[in-house]
Amino acid sequence: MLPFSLVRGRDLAGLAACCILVGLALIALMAPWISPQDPLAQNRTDQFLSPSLRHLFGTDEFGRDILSRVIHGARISLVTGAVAVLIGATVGVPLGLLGGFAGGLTDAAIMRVLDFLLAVPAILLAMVIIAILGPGSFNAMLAVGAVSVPSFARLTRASTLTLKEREFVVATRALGVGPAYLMFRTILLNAATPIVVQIAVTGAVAMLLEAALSFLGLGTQPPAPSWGSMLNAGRSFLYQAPWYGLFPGIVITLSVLSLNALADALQTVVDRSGAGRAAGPERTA
Amino acid sequence: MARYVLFRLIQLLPVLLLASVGVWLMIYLIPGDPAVALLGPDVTPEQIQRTRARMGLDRPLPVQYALWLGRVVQGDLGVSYLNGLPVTTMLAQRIPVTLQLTVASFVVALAIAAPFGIASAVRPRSWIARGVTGYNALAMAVPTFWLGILLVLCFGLWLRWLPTSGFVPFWQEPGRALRFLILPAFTLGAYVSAVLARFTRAALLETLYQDYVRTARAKGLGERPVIGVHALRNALIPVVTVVGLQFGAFMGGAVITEAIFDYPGLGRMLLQAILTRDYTVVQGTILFVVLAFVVINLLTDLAYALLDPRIRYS
Amino acid sequence: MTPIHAPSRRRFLQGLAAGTIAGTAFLAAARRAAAKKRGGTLTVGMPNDFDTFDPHKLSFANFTLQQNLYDTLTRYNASLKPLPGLAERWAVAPDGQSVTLTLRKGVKFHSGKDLMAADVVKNFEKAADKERGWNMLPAVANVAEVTAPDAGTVVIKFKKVSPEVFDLLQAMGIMEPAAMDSLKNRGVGTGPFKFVEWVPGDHTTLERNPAYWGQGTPWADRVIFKVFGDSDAMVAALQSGICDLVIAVPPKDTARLAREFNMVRGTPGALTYEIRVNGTRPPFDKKEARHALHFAIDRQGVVNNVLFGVSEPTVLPFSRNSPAYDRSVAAKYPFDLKRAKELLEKAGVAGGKAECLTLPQFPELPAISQVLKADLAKIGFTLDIAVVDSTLYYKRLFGGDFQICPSFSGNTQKYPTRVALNSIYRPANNPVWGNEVPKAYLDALNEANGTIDAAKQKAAFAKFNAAILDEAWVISIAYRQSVFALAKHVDGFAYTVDDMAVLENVSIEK
Repeated sequence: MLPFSLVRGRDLAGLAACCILVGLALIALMAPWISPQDPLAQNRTDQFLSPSLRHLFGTDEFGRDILSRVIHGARISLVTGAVAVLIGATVGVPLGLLGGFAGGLTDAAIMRVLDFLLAVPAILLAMVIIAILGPGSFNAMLAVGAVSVPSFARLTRASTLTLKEREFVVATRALGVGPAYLMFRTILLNAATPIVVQIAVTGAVAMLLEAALSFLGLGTQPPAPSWGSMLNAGRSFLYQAPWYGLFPGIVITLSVLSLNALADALQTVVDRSGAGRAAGPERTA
Repeated sequence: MARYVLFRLIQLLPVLLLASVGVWLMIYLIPGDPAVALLGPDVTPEQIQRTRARMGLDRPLPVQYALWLGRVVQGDLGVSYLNGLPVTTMLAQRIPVTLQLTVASFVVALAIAAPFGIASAVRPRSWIARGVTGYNALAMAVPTFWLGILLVLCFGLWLRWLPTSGFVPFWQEPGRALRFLILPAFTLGAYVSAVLARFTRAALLETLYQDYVRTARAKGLGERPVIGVHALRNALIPVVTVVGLQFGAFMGGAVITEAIFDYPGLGRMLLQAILTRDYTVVQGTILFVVLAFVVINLLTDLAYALLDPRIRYS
Repeated sequence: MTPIHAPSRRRFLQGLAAGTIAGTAFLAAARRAAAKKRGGTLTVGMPNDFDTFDPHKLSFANFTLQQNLYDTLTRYNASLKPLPGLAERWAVAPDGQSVTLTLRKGVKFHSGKDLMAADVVKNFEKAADKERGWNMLPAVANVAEVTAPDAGTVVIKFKKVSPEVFDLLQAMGIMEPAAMDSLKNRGVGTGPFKFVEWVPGDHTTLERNPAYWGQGTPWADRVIFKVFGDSDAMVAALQSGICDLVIAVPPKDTARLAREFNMVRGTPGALTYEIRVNGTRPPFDKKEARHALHFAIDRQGVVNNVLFGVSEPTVLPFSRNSPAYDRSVAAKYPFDLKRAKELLEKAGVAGGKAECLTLPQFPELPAISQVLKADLAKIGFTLDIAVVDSTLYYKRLFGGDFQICPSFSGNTQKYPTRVALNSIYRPANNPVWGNEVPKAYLDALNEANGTIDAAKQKAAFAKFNAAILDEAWVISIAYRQSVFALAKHVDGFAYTVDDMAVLENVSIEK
């Protein structure tokens, strides 16, 4: 289990990251009960109040409580990250398995498509996808998920290629097991560790990318309180209300920092156990 | 070597062809009508219909694609639906601008990464190394747009040291151009500087314990020449790879950076083109980005050969 | 025929500036001719690029061309008194069915060609062309014939009496007929500045027209219109000294910039924010449901929280200087959620939901939607905000494919029926009503259009207002007020009643 490995390895950064992420997840889960106010309630006379005891993070242009919005925003950001990773993994992993396992023309075709997808910077690709689907929270998740497919596919393919030649796989195959069983049970189970690391890395990238898309006005739409769209709005009021762009920025940075640290910690654990290396996805935003 | 270059060039063709089909298909899936974008508000359906016919938008898609590809091969990317200018002309105007930004941010990234990477490799347990690790983690986590906003706030509006937007061609007024470049270059370069610093450190650590470096040390060479001549040169190889791999990050970051600092480069042109459904401009720009990516990867491979005498292509 | 106005000297800018409240402030800063500096480059920041150099296409982005690259036949001062432009004198026939213009002598196009009456005729022909007429097409709908009896005289005959003749002349930018085919990329007019180059999405350069007919104007050698993708970047460029002057400053920045720059506020109500309501679709096909919106929109809240005080609330589209302006109606439509709820219940749509169409280019529009959404939520009505890109937005807006949609209307400060040039107020081919526009509105519109008698006009305007309020397919909210920000060294700036920038008298004092 990961936490034990972290304690054993005295990986303080990894432990701290774990704590922060668990904390964020708890906040997201309990948002309606712990947020001091309704994140959508407008008290128009309370415009741009600076942080105080009544409004710890201050208020925005409609007099909404920024702390409450940041708390509710945790839900959107974490859900975006999770859904994007889920899409990326469920599409990318089978693709990589198939390519690595089948080889030949199938592999070449898959690889060429991936090459092309990787040749377009992720944010541009996501922008084009959103241009097709239209802006919005769910479409942003789809776009981010689609963009993270290539890194999952590549990683899985690389692991599959190595594992395919390993003795235990060759032995299983010699037993006359079907290719599906071989792919999904024998190989996938053994390629799981780097994929788990990849999930943490992709989660960080996905959160950043969603924030960037919302920042460009293509992701979550107001009044829904996503961190990215709050940054986008806060950017317009830097002078009147510097705290508006400050707090969402801090939480985004903190979450991404934690996910990165977690990925590093996982990698250390994985390295110690001797499995493959996760492919760092390209920076997106 | 020449044969290898030729081989690699031929290998590029399917990627580029696929890219052209992909880009073309994606763009035609987009809802919205360039004729409407062209005509703007307050037009009649008949006007839209006439404009569509004039622009060739009413012909079958495969015909449109074949015609388009034929012209692209001849270096004709078509004209913008919106302003009637050739896309190649528009690209030619914007490429040097974005190039100036990316080169500047690469210089910034190197200027940060080289000392950071070397210091943390040479003194791996010192507070400097810890500081560098902290910087790396932070620079890799801070979103580009937030960093840009913080810099604008701090240096542009509170301290008023630097301009917060605009572009001056370096080849016209280098001094002023630099002032305008500092904030965007740092914004775009921060992330890559962290990646580079990490790789420099890792590469150096590896070479520092290799036999030839030990031998050099054993021969009584001072620390400087050992690191400078022997270790650094070999550490350059992975660093070159990273530069090639980070091209995508540079292009993606450029879209955001150009938006924050209102920098009239490729990224801003592309964003505007997507928002206004200027199909030809989107196609031309994405194709150019893919081509540039592919060429840079090729150059990266070739740089290997030059840096490492052990690698020979045949 | 009675000559109305025959001034010997051009006092347009002074008259314009002195007549407006904001204008007096910058007139004080304007120097006398003897003290003004000549030469220099004026850099003007704008949020959008010109979409054409056609003076007949009056999209907001193109406003700055109208009085700088081009001239109009006549001009207005702030109280809508006609002033000479390219037409030096005019005479309206007593029956109101024709006008005779005497063109200014010695005016040359930037191409070097003399301005002739035949050129003006060709401009009217273009305006009447369905393909090329753009915004002038509906404006010349009442024009029967334009002729040039001699090189310096233009006669415009109307189909029926034309009370808004000066609105037409004032909007009519005149271009060189030979350049009418290349307007996408360049423009040739008679204005104080002539076209040099256009770098799409980046900037447009104009230079001093040495042959200009103004007295001693223009002062600056060169004007560069610099395009910024968004207004925040534009404001930043003003602060870093890249721009000398920016147009369309976002309301949120107005107070902050006032410390360092001269802020010039345009006419309140050159444009009016509104909510367009589709009265042919549920849930707003019942009049009561539309009336509920009159009481559910917090107009003062929009002014304070969306427009940051740079505005004032209104329930009618008309600007304060419009003849149809009626101060008394505001009290009848207070912000009253209880009443809104009753009306929704009466219409049988309480607890219902609707989609609110909006686009991100104008941040005020999503913000207005948010204000309405939050208040409607309090009375149990759900509003879903759909933010779409501009192409889709305009397609759906002009196709009537929406339930409600915040937007704004222009032409609210001239002859009141001009408001019908906005698609939503169109008497026919209306995006919401098609050709089934409410009869009370149509009648009042025709009545106001059919007379030049002041008393009859007044009565018609009252009916017109009543019809707009009662049918309630446009819920006016607040005026849009243009704000220009000028560096301290910019002297002599002016603007028209439409808030178009006038740069001919601008000098750079540094």
